Amino acid sequence: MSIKKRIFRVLECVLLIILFVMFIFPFYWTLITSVKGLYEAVAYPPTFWPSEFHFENYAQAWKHADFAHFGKNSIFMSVGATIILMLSCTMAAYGFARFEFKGKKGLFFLMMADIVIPAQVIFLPIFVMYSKMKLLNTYASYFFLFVYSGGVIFFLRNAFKQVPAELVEAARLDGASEFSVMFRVMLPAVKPFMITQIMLSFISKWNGYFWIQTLTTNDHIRTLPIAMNRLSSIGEEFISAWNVTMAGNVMLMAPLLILYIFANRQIKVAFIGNGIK
Amino acid sequence: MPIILKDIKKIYPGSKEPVIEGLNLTIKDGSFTVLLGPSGCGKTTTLRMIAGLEDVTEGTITVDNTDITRMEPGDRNLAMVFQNYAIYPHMSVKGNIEFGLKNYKMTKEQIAQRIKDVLELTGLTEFANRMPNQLSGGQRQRVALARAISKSPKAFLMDEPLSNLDAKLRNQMRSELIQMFKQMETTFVYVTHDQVEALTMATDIVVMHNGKIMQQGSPKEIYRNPQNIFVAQFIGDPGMNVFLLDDGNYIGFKPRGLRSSGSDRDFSFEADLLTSEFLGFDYQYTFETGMGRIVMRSIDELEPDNHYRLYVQDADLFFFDKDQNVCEPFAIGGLKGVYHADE
Repeated sequence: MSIKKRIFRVLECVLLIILFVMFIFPFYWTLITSVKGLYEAVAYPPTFWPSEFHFENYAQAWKHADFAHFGKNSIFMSVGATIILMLSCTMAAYGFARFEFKGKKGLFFLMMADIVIPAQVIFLPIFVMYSKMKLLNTYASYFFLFVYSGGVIFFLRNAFKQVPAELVEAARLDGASEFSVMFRVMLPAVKPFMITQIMLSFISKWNGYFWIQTLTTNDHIRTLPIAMNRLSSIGEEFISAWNVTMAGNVMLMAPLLILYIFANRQIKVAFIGNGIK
Repeated sequence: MPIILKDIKKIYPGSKEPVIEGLNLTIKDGSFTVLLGPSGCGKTTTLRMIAGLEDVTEGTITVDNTDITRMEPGDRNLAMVFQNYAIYPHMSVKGNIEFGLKNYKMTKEQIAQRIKDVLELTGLTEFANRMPNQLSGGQRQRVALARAISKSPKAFLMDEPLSNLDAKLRNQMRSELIQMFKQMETTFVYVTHDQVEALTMATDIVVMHNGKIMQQGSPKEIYRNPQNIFVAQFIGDPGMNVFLLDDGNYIGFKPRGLRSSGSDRDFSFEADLLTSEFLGFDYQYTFETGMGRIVMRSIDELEPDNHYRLYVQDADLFFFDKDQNVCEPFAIGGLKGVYHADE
């Protein structure tokens, strides 16, 4: 190895280490703060390893943020919205990818518009509409929001378009019905893309804050991210309970990290390619 | 079970020009019929209309006296082999074959027996549980064949099935296909642009150009008696040299009909040797005649960069009328220039 190459290698490693620290540090900080005592959590200078471990923070977080209620909402609403979204968007994407029909261009344009228009622009009319329909604070109001997503349809349509047409034709010659073509040939062929979208959808619903906050007036259908707000107010006078807040955050994050570990490979395939040969 | 195409017209959606018009074709029962032609000639479209993958704009297609023109592809009892194999990537070899059979509502025992039979026939038994990405190109194409055979179709439709294989494997698959054809005793309809595939495998060749049939016949007929200039120039390696005459007629001769010596009674002309290519058994020479370039294939060794007088014997001459169809011999007048059908 020449000297030049060696220097490059060292620089590369240094850069990677810096990036690694930058990305991992917030996680590390959250984790150690979650087991610190109330005072140590806000102490200056900060400690990088807790002097004593306060695992009771987790029990406190669970109790004060009412994980039983909000956690149940989080799971039910994230899973439900993801299922509804994937079912409708898969079929819409399949239609856009496979069929020619009247008004396809116009519909496609509308769909793309959905990607461009930010939620902040439309939340008010939606709020008014829901309130007039007496849908505020109902699960239905939340699920209605996600029967449709331009981004997901667009992404899946492109995935379907990558599947060689011959595969569909072979299936048709094999006597497969349209549903059989879709579920037994096309969907398996775009599996990494499906899993990625399921993951992304679930993550955004799980972490979702904006829609829940704007479309609710009580706690009935609120979820964990909103419940986290309660934790900062439980410390002593002038001191927020950062340790308990962090404990709550660790519990909020954990399911996503576990999910990611399982779906990691599929997500890489969908983004880097090689999904379909 | 002959396949009969009657007055077929095909216009693709969104276009006004028909790609095929007034096509009449009878594919004989039990024949190995090759649709041959340059790309864009309509051969693949024709095959896909038989398969039901393209709508027929006008006309009828009958198989075995049944009108299948508007039938679903899956109901036609035809099997197709695609250029890129089109085997289902997420199913094992066995699963690929099973998928079609299940849709045919056979019993489990029948399916298992059928799969066993075709895997044996195609030599894939040991690969039954492999996934497609663990197979080589040749093996994948064999899976596609096995899948087609398993359905015992009325006819096999093949769309350039060998063009993705390397040269050696292609030769091997070619002879396997011939064997398979002999065993099956079914009709094969095979699309290719490769005349070697057509000449070696076909019992019947249909040469197509611009959506029309230029000639239909056995390989020997097509090769020896081309009916028009297009076929004459398309078939052969290389194709026929054709001169346009002053009176609008044409004469032609094959590169192998050209000689560097001859008698005064032969048709002859002057030419400069441009290039010579050694091909092992013989040479391929390109000459400049002053009216265009012509090609000669010969076992004679010629001096490079020389001027020659070239001769064609009467028996080697082909005569074409103004419509470019073969005709009775006529007295050859003045030469106007070298003619190429594809220009």
